[in-house]
Amino acid sequence: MAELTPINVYICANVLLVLASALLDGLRAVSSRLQPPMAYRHQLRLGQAMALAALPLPLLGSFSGRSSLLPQTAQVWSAPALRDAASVPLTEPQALVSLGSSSAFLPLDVASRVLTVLFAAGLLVVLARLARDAAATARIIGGAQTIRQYRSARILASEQTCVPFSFWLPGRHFVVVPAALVLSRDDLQLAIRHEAQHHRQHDTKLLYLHQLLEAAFFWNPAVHRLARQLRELQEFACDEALGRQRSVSTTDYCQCLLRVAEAATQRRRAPLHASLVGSAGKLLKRRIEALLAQPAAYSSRSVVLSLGAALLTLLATTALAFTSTIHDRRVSAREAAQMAALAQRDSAFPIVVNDSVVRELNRLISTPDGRASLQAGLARMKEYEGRITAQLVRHGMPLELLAVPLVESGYRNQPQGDDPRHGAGLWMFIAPMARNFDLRVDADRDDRLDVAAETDAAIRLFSALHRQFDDWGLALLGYNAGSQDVERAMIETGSCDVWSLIEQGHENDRGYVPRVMAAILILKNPSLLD
Amino acid sequence: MAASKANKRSRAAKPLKELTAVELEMMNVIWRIGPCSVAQVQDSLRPQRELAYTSVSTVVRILEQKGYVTSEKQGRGHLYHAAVSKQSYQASSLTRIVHHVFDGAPSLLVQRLLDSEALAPDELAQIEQLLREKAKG
Repeated sequence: MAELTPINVYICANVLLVLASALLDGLRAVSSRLQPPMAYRHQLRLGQAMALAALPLPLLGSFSGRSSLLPQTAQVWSAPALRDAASVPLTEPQALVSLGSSSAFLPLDVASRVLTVLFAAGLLVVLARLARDAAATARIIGGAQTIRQYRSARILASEQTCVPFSFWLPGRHFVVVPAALVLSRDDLQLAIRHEAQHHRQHDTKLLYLHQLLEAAFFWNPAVHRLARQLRELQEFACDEALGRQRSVSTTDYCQCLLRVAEAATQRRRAPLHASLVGSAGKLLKRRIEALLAQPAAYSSRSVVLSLGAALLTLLATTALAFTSTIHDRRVSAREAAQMAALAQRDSAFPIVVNDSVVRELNRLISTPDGRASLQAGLARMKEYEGRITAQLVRHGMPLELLAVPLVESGYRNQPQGDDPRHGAGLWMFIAPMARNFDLRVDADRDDRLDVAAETDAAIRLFSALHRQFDDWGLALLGYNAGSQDVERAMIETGSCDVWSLIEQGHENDRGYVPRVMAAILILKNPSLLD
Repeated sequence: MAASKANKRSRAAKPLKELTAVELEMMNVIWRIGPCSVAQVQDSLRPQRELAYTSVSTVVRILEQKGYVTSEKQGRGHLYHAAVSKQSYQASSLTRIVHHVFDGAPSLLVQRLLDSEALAPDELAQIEQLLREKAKG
């Protein structure tokens, strides 16, 4: 199951809307070159389908098996994940933005605070404008006189508007015409027909979707462009529908458009409704040209459906690719416990999951550095896995011990550095301990770099520790801190529970045992690193 | 029922909406000829204004919604009566003008009237007479 967070859904929806806008642009450009062009009604339906699909499609990721098709180098890692990961060498929490080969670090608190404030302020402005427009429309409708009524549809005359418009409320359809238009019977008829067509096309209902899109994605210019394109297409489709009616003279209709537009130039258009003249100007010219040009072709239903299916498939694929743009791969204690329970099924090794194990697990898997380092370690492990597994099986040791070299050396068979306290080989034996297990460590020879020999020594050491403590947790602590230290800690605390000893500070490397447990969980659940 | 009565009262108390130029034109016809049908209004507007029957009918119905006329069924059509007298419309229009244009001071309106209108001597005498009568109370 892929991770699906609100921020990822929001980012994905933005990407889809940008794509939908570009596709609609392309569709309109191609259609205008066709002879005859594609019907505006069909262009409108395809555009609306894409805009509508852009909202639910980001949720598609939750059904896909893969978390994201996006390459890791083009992902942004979540700030909380980085904040939790103290192993990442950052002095303070920062957001890592990584695109291609370049990456940038931003001070996390500043970046998130500034973005949140900007977004909230922008949204407030947009909502205030929306409320103002809604109030203006309500005022116009409230002050208008009903001149006709057909069931749920009311034709209103208002002195407060100079352009006809239509508006929908659940169960109620309004067509509002300027009071002056009442005197011109023919223009009034055409205006009412045009606005009724908006209701018929469901433009007045989809207006709410446009407003929602423009408010929620107010900072995205592509969304405004998409909404504008759809508004234009609504007008073209209305004109087209009226142009096809025999009772409507194209010339009269064009003249009506011009007269209404002339009146509209006097005042600003109220923006919350579908209007006969739209935004006037160039659009009006194009509408008249379209009306007078060759009639558009009504493509067959199957062609439009196929085209729609292709466009939606493209959007769906993109949605899958951008499912988890921002990564937050942390696992919860519950998820870790479930993984441990699954891993425990075919193993006698006690896999423990507690807060410290979950913390170590998340340090390893929830940052780009941690994951990269683990993946490299697992890749190196492949070279030795067969041999070490065979040795462990031969001595009846649990295969979970494969996690120890992963934590100790990341499966790097490396020589000892200058510091004599450092270990060497995959299992990181320090020199005195290696000599205790008959490994030769001197200036000429270092048996620790002989993987088979050092593994054999490690198996003997673990075997002895397990015999001594009869507990794999204590054996792991003994491997890191030495058996004498563990014994001393047990006497001091009176406890033989490894987690209690760790809690009371009896550790050598901090978080060693939880880290090995986390590594065991990762070995048992390699999908954590996908 | 009580609620509906209250609604009627509040509607009645609401000030009348202003008339547009066309609506005023038709009201003038109704004030002049008295209760009439849409066709009579249409005829009275000719030849200065050629309007379709439906247009006149629509405007008259708007006047009805605004509360300026009432209708009664007569035969197949309706007869429209003025619900507001011309005098009360003039009075409310003047009140509106005084309030909105002359800062609520009627004397300013009279002054502007005397300044800008070329009044005949008999009209001036009539105004003086009216003022004297008003002063006597």
